[in-house]
Amino acid sequence: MSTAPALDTLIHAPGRLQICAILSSVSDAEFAMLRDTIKVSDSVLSKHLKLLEEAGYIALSKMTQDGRQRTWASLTAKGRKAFSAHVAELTRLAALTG
Amino acid sequence: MTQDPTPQEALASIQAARASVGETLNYPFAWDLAYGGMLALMVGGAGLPQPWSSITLVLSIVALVFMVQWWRKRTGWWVSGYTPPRARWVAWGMVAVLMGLMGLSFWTRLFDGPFWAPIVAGALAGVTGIIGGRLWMRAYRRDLLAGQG
Repeated sequence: MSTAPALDTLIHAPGRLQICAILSSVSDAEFAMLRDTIKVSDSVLSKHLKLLEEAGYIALSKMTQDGRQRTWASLTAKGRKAFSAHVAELTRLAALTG
Repeated sequence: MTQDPTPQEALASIQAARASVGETLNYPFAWDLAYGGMLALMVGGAGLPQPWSSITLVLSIVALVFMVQWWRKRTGWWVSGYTPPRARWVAWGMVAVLMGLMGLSFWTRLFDGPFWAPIVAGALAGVTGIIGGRLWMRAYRRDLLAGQG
């Protein structure tokens, strides 16, 4: 029996999908850049990042900039693989329904 | 977009998010000059006698660190030159050219080559940095538009 690829529900939520899309294009991105790009509040972004971090899809790190601690996020190898598989499945489904 | 986007909506959302990274790729020519100057110092300095060779190497690395910090602060992101599929070939091409120029510069210091070799190597490294940097950014922008960043 073959297992059909499925959409990753954790990634598929709009905010997290955009976060993963941005992080897949860069090495890492800062909290404020992600917040401003996907147009959500600090608390909503924090929640998205926490869920992705708990799944092992992203890694968070703190860096001091202008005397303030800033949070930077990057996709892990597991997150990169999961996002690639998710995009491949979306592309397949879009071709079927397009 | 809804909480359960269709595949088309989701792909469009991914494309838009990647394009937003590309929108921050407009940067001043001073960045190119700084990058070229840093490479010129690193490559040209390699041909100088000690301790100048080490001093110029340290100075160029410090300059690179400041440049990375400036970019991070300005854009809120950083990307390795060797990651994006198209752009990485520009980066490897630059590495190949710069290694050749480094060899030219070392010629003077290690094998008693002509005095002008480090000057020429440094100047060519600077030009490589300016042109190569712009080519890299153009390739990266294409990677982002193609959804392959």
